[in-house]
Amino acid sequence: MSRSTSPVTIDPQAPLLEVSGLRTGFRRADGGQFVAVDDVTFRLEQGQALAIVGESGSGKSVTIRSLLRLLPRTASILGGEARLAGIDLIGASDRTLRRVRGREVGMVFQNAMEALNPTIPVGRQLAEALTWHGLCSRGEARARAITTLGDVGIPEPERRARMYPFQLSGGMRQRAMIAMAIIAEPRLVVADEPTTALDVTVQAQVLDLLAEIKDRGTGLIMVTHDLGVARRFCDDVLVMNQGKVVESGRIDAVLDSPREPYTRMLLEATLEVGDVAATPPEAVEAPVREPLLVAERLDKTFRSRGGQTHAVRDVSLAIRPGRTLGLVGESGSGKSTVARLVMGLHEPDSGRVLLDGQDVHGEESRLQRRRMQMVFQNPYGSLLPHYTAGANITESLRLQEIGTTGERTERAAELLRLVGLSPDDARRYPQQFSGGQQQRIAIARALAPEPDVLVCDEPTSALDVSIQAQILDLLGEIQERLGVAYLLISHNLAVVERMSDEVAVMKDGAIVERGERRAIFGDPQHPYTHQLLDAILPVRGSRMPRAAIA
Amino acid sequence: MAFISLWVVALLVLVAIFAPLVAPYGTQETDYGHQLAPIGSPGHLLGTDTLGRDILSRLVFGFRTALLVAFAAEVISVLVALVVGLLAGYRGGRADGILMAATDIMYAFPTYLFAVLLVTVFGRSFWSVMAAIAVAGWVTQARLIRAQVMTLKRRDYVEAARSMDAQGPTIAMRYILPNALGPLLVTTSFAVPAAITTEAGLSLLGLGISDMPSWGAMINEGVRYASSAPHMIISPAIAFAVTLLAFTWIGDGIRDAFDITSEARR
Repeated sequence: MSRSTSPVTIDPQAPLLEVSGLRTGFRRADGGQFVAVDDVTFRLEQGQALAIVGESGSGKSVTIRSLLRLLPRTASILGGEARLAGIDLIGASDRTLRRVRGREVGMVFQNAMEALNPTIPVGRQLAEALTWHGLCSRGEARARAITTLGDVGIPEPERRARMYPFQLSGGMRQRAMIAMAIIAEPRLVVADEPTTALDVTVQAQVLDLLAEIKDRGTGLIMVTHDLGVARRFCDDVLVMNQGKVVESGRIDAVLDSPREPYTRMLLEATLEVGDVAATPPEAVEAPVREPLLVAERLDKTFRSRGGQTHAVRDVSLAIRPGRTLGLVGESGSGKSTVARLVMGLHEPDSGRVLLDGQDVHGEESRLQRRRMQMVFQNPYGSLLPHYTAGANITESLRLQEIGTTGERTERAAELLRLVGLSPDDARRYPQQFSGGQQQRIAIARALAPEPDVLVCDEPTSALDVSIQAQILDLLGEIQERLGVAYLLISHNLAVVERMSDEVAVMKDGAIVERGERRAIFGDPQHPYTHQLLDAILPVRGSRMPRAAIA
Repeated sequence: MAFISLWVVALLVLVAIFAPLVAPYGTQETDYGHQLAPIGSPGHLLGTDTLGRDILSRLVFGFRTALLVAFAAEVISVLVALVVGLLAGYRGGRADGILMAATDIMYAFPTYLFAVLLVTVFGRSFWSVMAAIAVAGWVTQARLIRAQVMTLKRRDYVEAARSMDAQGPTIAMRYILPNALGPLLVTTSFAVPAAITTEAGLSLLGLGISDMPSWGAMINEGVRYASSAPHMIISPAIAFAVTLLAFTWIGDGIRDAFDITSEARR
């Protein structure tokens, strides 16, 4: 590998980044061409931040990868121009481009665990980013790696520099990757969903850090599906759909008065905390009934070679028939473990789960357990890949030998209609459906044995906002028609507010606050609930975060 | 390549099945007066050996032996591997520890040494040669299945099945096993030519099946007369090479079909 020191010709007068008519296509297996990015044009000045927003498959990630030509081999740039401070990125030789990547442009990826080399300590990876480009000696590089780790807010940078990526927490890894992106002091930082994998409280810290980098005069492009993140942080926005730029402009203008129907749809589908509170309370309050499902003082510790994790501490819950209990918390708070204890997938160390007064974990529990079903986060992963949609839906009936084959086929057709699909879809395989449709199939499967309780573990977290809205509508409709009770687990406060009658907030395995939905969102008591609500980035209206208003 | 190979193998398999119809002579039939006839002799297309036996006929029947041993050995080793791999991978814990310790012990034992043992005890029969190949084969496949099962059992759909109250055997057989078969098919398709090679190798060492014609034995004999009667080694060697190549290319084709990282998928 040549480490030529010949400088790339930089024109300081030219705009930081100028892209016009960019087109990128993928070669299809049938020999055809799929145009993933079609005629994208934008401009970015120093110290400015541009958000590229859109749903999955809109071409936003391919756009930024095209700029650095970090594309899979099946993809090729079909046309257009991209100039970084005068350097032609599309026509540049591989050698020039290698000097641009990392030195003039830093990249931040969504998943730091995968983007960092797991076998090299973080500090050395940072230093290599410098020595690779021949920017300084090894000793200097090591010193600068430690300084930069400190700059991005990693405490004890000297100790942390010697650690491997897996030894750092998720937030710290993401900071380490940002440190790697900025260590060579690039003109432009490109971030692809930099906070999507992070908890809201950590997300706020990472965004503050990126804002600081921007203030130093670095240009920033952020690809995100989260309009709140885009608004908090960026000056301009490109809204993309199916490879094309639908709308662009100043972010406040676009989000406050969108001109295009697609942007409007995107905004309407975006759930925000406060949307529900604004609507007047229902005129008729449902009569309060005895709880259907009760969890009493659940406690669970996982033991492994690395030590033990007290995942759930003394958690008690009650869900009334036909109502929804929302369980919110950040990753690692133990909310998924609670779901699995309730479902009987894990045995609690102490405490019990009662359904209609009968212990779910007891000897005669199997009949009881059938009355509870579960919907998972990843719809594709939770469906059997070698079974058709119909066979997936009726599998639980077949396992329990309920009905004849004909009756089960009939039931599958009925359930497919209930979840908004066609009975003909029963013959297709899971991979032939979109993510939203897969989740509908997963919901149909959960409803097959006519359960009284549905445990939904992050049911919409893997889906686009417009699909999320549809799935939540569907869940609401089903509850109204069938009277199923929901235990809804989510890290997304807006989803929980929209769906729940009661809410419980979890932190470090324990419930820190619980109450009626309106009480939790309107008048939170626990400081942690405050912290969660304050970390929310509003999409519509004021640009100021909630904390600043209060 | 895989496609052509498939036709070659199909043809060879047909020849093996209908060997008595294809072969012009029996395997032990001797043509006195025409010993060591060269290739192209009238009545003996590929010539005869030192005893005047027709080489083409012996090739055809020899392939039948090789195929029979290879397939029988593969069926046994796959079945053993499935049971061991599923149990070890799904149950984990102590079952896994014990089964994998046994597998490792077998793994450390050289195939040929085991063959020598079996042949010494049970004689140079079809069964002892097949058993020797099967015993050598199941070990790697059991490890492969175990690894597959260990990944698959953490999949969401397995947890979904558990939430529908499916029990262990159902989960293992209905949900995990069908999804673990892809890689197994690939290794099995490579294991068949390996088994044919092992059989030939055992014959070459004089440990092969004594009462059936074998390519290894033919090559072994051909080596001794290589300078005076080269036709005795040429035909079996070419047949051997073509067969192995065809099987290996089919294996390549199957592997590519299962390879999700292959580029054509996008």
